[in-house]
Amino acid sequence: MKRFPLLGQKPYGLAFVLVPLLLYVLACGCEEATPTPAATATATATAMATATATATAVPTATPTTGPAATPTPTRAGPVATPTPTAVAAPTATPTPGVQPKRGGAITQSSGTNLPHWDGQAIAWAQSLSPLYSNLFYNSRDDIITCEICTEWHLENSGKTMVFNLIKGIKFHDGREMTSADVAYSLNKMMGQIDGIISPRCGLIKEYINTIETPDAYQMKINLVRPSVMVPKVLSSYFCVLYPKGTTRENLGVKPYGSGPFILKEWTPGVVWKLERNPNYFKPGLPYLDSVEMIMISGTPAIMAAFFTHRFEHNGGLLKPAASYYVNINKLKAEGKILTRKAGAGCRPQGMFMNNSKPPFNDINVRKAANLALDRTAYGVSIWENDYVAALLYQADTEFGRPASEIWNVVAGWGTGAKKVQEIEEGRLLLAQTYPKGIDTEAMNQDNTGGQIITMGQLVQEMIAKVGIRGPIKITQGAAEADPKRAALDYLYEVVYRCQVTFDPDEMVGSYWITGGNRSWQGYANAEVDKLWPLMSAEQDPAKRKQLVRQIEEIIIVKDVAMGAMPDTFTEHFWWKRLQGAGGMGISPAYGSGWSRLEEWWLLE
Amino acid sequence: MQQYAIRRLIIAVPTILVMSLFVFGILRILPGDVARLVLGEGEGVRITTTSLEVIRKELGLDRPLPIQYLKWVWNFVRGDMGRSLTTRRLVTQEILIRIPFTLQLGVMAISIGLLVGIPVGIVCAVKQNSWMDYVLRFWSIFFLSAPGFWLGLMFLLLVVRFFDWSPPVGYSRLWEDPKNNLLQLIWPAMIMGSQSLAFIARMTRSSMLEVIREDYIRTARAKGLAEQVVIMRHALKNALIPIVTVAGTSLGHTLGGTVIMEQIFNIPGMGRLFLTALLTRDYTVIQGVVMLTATGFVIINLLVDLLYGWLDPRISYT
Repeated sequence: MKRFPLLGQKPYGLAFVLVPLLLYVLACGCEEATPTPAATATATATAMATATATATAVPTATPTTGPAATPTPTRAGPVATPTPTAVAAPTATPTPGVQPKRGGAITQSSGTNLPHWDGQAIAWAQSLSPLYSNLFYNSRDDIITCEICTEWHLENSGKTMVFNLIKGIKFHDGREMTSADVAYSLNKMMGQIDGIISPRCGLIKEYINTIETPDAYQMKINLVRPSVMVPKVLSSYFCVLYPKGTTRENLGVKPYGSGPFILKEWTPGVVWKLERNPNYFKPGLPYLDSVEMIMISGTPAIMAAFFTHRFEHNGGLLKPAASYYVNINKLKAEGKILTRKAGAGCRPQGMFMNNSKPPFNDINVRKAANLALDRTAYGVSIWENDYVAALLYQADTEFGRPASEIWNVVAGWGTGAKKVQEIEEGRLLLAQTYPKGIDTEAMNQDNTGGQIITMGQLVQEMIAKVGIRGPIKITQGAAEADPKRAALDYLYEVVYRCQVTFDPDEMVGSYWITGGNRSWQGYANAEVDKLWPLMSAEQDPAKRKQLVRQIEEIIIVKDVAMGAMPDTFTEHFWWKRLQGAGGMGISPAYGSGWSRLEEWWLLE
Repeated sequence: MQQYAIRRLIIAVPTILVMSLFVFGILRILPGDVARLVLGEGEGVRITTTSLEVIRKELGLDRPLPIQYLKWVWNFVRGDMGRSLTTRRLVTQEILIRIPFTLQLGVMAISIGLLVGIPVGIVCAVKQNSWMDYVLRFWSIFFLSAPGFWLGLMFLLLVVRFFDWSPPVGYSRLWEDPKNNLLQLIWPAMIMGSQSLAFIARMTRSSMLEVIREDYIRTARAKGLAEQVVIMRHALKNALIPIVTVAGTSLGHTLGGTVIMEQIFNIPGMGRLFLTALLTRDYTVIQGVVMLTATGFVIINLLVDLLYGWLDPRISYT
C-alpha cells in the first residue's frame, strides 16, 4: 500500500477528509435556486436583528424598476374622505367563481413579540388585530368604513361626525359595546384616561375637540376642523376599542376585544392561539376555525419555516433579503404562492437639509446637493434594484405623480449621462458661492440593522463630489435625534419620515407647514401654508391630488427643501391554499383590514 | 467536604454581589430610554414627555439609582426578581417558561460532547499518530474553529435545500410533545455539542497521553490485564480531572451561549429572552437572567470542584 506520510499509512484515510469536504463544497456551491440564509443571516444572527416588521425594507433581487422600467403598478385606492358610507363594514367578498369555505386552521409567523394586549400603546400591533374591532376599518381594498356602525354622517359643515352604532356587538367577555366604550377608547388614545397618549393613535388629539354620547348607541365627535384624518388614523390596527374602564394593567394579562377571534392560549413571547369568536357581529365571519401565531425572529428561521410549509403566511416579515427572492419568484411563477406588493412604510426619505441654518439655508447649496444625489445608484445599493421614484410620495400612487414625470424630468433625477452632467452642474453651482467647497456634518440616526447609517454614508459620498464634505455623527435612535431635530440643532440628515396615515394632511401638516408639530427642516413657505388647509378640506379626490401635487412641486422642486430619494416596496407572501389574505394597504398604512384575518379561508 | 462546600458558597456571595452591581451599572450606562421602548419607539411614533413621565414613574425609574439598586437586590435575595418593564409580568414567570428549553439544550449538548468526545479522545490517545487519530483530530479542529452560528445556518440551508424540511418552529415541551420537542432541539444540540465534543476530545486525548505513559499503566499491562481494562479502569479515571474541569466550564458556556442557536432555530429559551430584553432595555429581565446565569456558573464550578474529591481520593478539602 502506498504510504502517505502526512495522513498515515492507509490512503483511504484521505476519504474521511475529502468526502466531507466534497459534500461541503456541493452544499455551498449550489446553484442559484437555493435559499441562502447564510449570506445575510450572519449579520442577522450576530447583529441581533429581529424580524420585526419595520419599514426598513431589506433589499431584493428583483429586476430593476429604475427609470427605464415600466413603473410597478401600486395600489392607489380611493381617498378616504369624511364622506360617510351608509352601511356597516362590508362582509367578505369572495374571489369570483370560488366561494370561501368555512373551517380550518392556519399558522402565521409573527416577527414581533406581543408584550401585552394594549394595541393602542404598542409599536407593532398587527398580531393582535384579529382580537379587536375598530371604529373605522380599512378593508383590503383601501376603503375605509365605520366598522361598528349602521351608518354615520357629517353635520355642522363636516365638523361633527355622528355615528349610529350597531346594537348587540359583544366583547369577548359578554359585555355589549356601547357608545360609552367607544368614547372611552378614544379618550384613552388621547391620554385622557391614564395620561399616556397613544404613540400612534394619539394623533387624533389634534383633530378632536370633544366626544359626546347622547345615548348608548349614538356618538358624536366634534372636530377642530373638517378632515379625513380621524377615519384614517382610527382605521389603523393600533386604534382598537376596549370596554369602558379597561386599564393597561388589565391588558397586560389578556385582551379585551370584540374581534373575530378569541384568545385561547398565550405563551408570552412564544406563541398565541386564537379561535373563532362564535358571537362575532359580522355574519358568516371569520371563516377560519383557529389561527396559531408563532413568534419567529430571524430571517433564516422564518424563511426556512416558510419554504417547508411550517406556516402559511409571513405575517412577520415585510421583505426578506434579496437571496430569498430566487425561491420566492420561482414559487410565484409556479403558482404555489401568492404575494402582494405595497409601498414601503415610511416616506419621504432622503437628504433632509436644515433650511434655517448655513450652509443649507442657501438654496444654491441645496440645489447643488440635490443635483449630486444619484438616485439610480441609491436604489441599486440601498434597495437592491427594487426601487421606485418618490418625491414626497411614491410615484404612481394615490398622491404620487407618474414615475415618467420624475426620472430625467425633475432636477436631480437624471440618469446615465444626464446624471454626470447634473453632478458637474452641482459642482459649479456650489463653487459660485463656495469655491473651496463646504465642510459640514451629517446627523445620522441609528436604527436596528444600521440601514439609515448606510444610507447616510452613501449620500455623504455623493455630495462630496460637488464639494460638500464632512463626517457623520451618529445619534442613538429617535430619543437622541428628535430633540435635535426639534431644536434644529443639525445641518443635514439622511433618514425617512414615518407617519401613522401617510395622508398629506398629516405628512405636510407635521413636517412642512410653518409651525408644524414636526417642523424639523426649518422650512417655511407661505404658499404651502395657504394650500395645506385647502388640500385638507378638499373632498374631491382628483382636486385633492392636484393640490398635493402643487405642494410637492413647491417643497421639492422649487424650494428643494430636501433631496428626495427612491423608495421601495414591502411584500407579503403566503401559500396558495390560503385565500383571502392580503398585504398592507398603501393608504393608509397599518390598515386594520389586512391584519384582521376574518376573511381568510383555506382552499382545501 | 461539607465545610469546604459551605465555605465556597459563602465566598460566592460577594462574587454575586459584585456581579449584580456590575450588571445594574452597565445597563444604566447603556444608551436607550426604556420608557420610550415600552411605548414602542419606532419610526413615525409620537411619544410625548407626559407619557414618558407616567411610564417612568410606573416602572420606578424616576427614583435615585442607589434606591433602585438596593430595592432590587433586597427583592432578589427574597426570590423576587421583579417585573418585566415591558410586559409587567414577573421575571420569574418569564424565566420559568423558557428555562426548560435552555437547560434541555445545554444538557443535550454537553451529553453529546461527553458521550462522543471522551471516547474519541481515548481512541486518539490509544491510536496516537494513526490515520484515525489524524482524521479525528482534523474534525475536532474543524468543529472548534467553525463558528456555531455558521454551522447552524449551514444545517438549515442543507435540510431545506436537499430535504425540503426544517425543524419545527413551535413550542413543545418535552413532557407534552416529546417528538416535536426533540425534533426541534436535537439539531442545535448536536451543533453545540459538536463544539463541546471537539474541546473535550482534545482534552481527553492530551490527558490520556500523559496518563498512559505512567509506570502504573505499564505495571497493569505487565500484570496481564486486558487492554480495555487498563484504559478504562486505570488510565481514564486518572485522566478525568482535567476533562471534568473542561466539561464543567463547557456546560457553563453552553448554557450562556445558547442565544445564537435559539435565534437560528427559533427555540423559546433564555437566550432569546435575554436578546429581546436587551433590545427593549428591559433591565429587570436582563438583570434576572444575568444573575441566574452567574449563580449557575458558581454552582457548577462548585460541583466540579467537589467532583474532584470523588474522582481522586488524594484530594482533600482542608
